[in-house]
Amino acid sequence: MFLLPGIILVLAFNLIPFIDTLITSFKNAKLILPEERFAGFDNYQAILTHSRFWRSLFITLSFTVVSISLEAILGLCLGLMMTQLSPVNNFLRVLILIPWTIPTVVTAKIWQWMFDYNLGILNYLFEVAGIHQINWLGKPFLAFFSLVIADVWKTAPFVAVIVLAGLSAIPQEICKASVVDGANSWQRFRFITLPLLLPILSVAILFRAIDALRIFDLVYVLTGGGPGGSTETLSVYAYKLFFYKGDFGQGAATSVIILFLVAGFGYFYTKKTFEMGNL
Amino acid sequence: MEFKPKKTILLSVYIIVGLWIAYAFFRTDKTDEVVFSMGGGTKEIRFVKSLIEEFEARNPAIKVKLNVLPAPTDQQHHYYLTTLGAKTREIDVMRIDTIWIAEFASAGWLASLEGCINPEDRASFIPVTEKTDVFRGHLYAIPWYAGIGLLYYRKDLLEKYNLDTPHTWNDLVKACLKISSPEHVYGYLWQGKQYEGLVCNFVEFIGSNNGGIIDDTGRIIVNSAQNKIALDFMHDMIWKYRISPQNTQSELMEESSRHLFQQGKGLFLRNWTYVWELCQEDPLMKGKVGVSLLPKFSDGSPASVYGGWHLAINVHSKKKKQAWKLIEFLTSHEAQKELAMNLSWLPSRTALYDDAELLHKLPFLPVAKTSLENIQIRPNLPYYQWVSDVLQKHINRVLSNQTGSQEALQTIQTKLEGIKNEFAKD
Repeated sequence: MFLLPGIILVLAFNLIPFIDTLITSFKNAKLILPEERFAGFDNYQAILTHSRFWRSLFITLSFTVVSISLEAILGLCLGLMMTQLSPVNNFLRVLILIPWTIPTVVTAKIWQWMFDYNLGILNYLFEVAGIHQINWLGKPFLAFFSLVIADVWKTAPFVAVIVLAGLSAIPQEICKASVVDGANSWQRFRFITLPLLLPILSVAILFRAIDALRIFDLVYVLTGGGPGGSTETLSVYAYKLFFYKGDFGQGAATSVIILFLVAGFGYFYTKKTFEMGNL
Repeated sequence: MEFKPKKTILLSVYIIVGLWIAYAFFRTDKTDEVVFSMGGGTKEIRFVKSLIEEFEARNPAIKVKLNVLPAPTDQQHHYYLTTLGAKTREIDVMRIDTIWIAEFASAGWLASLEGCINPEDRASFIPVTEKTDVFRGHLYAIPWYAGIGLLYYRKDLLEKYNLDTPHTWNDLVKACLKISSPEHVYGYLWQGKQYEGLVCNFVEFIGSNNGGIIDDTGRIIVNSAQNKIALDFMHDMIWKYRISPQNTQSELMEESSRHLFQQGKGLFLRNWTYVWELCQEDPLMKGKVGVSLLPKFSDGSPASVYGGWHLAINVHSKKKKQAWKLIEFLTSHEAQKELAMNLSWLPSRTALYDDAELLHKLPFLPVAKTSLENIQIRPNLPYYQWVSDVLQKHINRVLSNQTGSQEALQTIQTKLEGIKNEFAKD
């Protein structure tokens, strides 16, 4: 009886919508057709044979790999720096966290103004420095790079906080013992801090990867998938199928594929890190 | 019996939730409210509210509730897809975009208005209505106000350099090249980002060179020599003549291009009619801005795209009669005049284009009237969004130098034929 509310919530908000999406993904359910028809694997076949799907998959994966590598490195550095601060500087720690607390859509809007060709601060600084103005969102590679910058800015602090938590859990005795043994600071980092930090860092990476594989809001606001569809991630593609074209069948099929992609990644990642003894 | 506080609290929570669900199930629509759903700017919403109050005063039996949607068009489309798709009865009248009529009608979401309007009244709307508001022989929507693309120009700058308003694209390029560098302004501002506005601009460019997307028989005619000239010209304005900003294809939409123009950073601007009012209110721009027809290619004629907003009734509405009354009022001669006087909305009734008072308030009305004679419509198809998606993407690829114009037009042609065949099958 005490479990019932929880079960109802899970049913109502997770399981039923999931099953409904799964069923829709096997139907020819286009908005402009008056009725839905069972279509077997047609939707999946149509998506998987469409170059646009593979392209957005590639964009999503590249985005995930590039942004997470940068976030992990930057987050690690930030976290290490923050331990050096005396507790008096808590204020600074809070300051570093601010980007993480801002909703993504707001982040995207802020960066949209910064990247703006005519009015943006980036191009203003470039102009002052005498460098040619750059059309940040106008060229495929630059637009991709701009998305990565905005994402790293927002989420590196998240990694930093997790690293900070991990660092405070490392026993001081080991560090002190290693100093006695004559280890220099690089050796202390390489052989003590990093291995002990790895489990918690891999959790941070898991969280970030799941988010990055589903990246939607940042792309939707900042580039809308442009220019010429060169930054269209899987979620943006699914959104366009659903709400732009009104093709609920193919939209649902794409969502199911994204789900399996993310779930599959999560499964293998945790399994691998578990085997390596990191978790 | 032992008293168990935890259990008692839990039990009462269950009872309350149960009663609430039962209430939600069995409650009947308690009021006769007609729900009118529209999105728009603050000023527009405020004025429409005052119109609705007038309607309520004249029809005391009907109460109207205004359901305000977010201003961006694609978010309104998203909203209707979710609510109408779920067969809602909570919306009675809605304001919809020209390009949604066929889509919504084909989905069976709109009530046919055939019996409601008398032929005489129907004929008093602008003629394009018969092309855009009719789907498979039935009238599904009434145009509320029209939107057309116009050329805004800086009167003061053209006068200073002793130039006429350009009639051809060639004249426009010449004027831009002459004026823009000494005056430090961009030449021509238009909408090139990958979104619906780009399709509107494309339709105007190709329309002014006798090109098109789909002909009257439904044949796809994108891959043509006329279209190639027009598309090359769009590309060249950014990259060859450099009279349009380098971020046209990545950032310029209606508002971003208007901001540049209103800040005095542009010589020419392609935009909708709403810009006129804003330029009159702006001390920096007042008296310096002129409006004319969009230019044409030497063999073509000026072409504006039609982008009106329409009123339609939800097929599941239970108050269709009251809903029609509201539409009748909002699209009436006098309401449209009020809207034009206060919001610069272009009327959808032909007679108002010769109204003396309106001509004084909106001096570009004769230009608009001429534009409506050669108005270009975007393909009136239920799967228009699919067509638009292909167009947006591949035209934008040309503008951002990712592909050549010939290749892009060929791809669009093939893709549109594919979409057409796919839907012919369904």
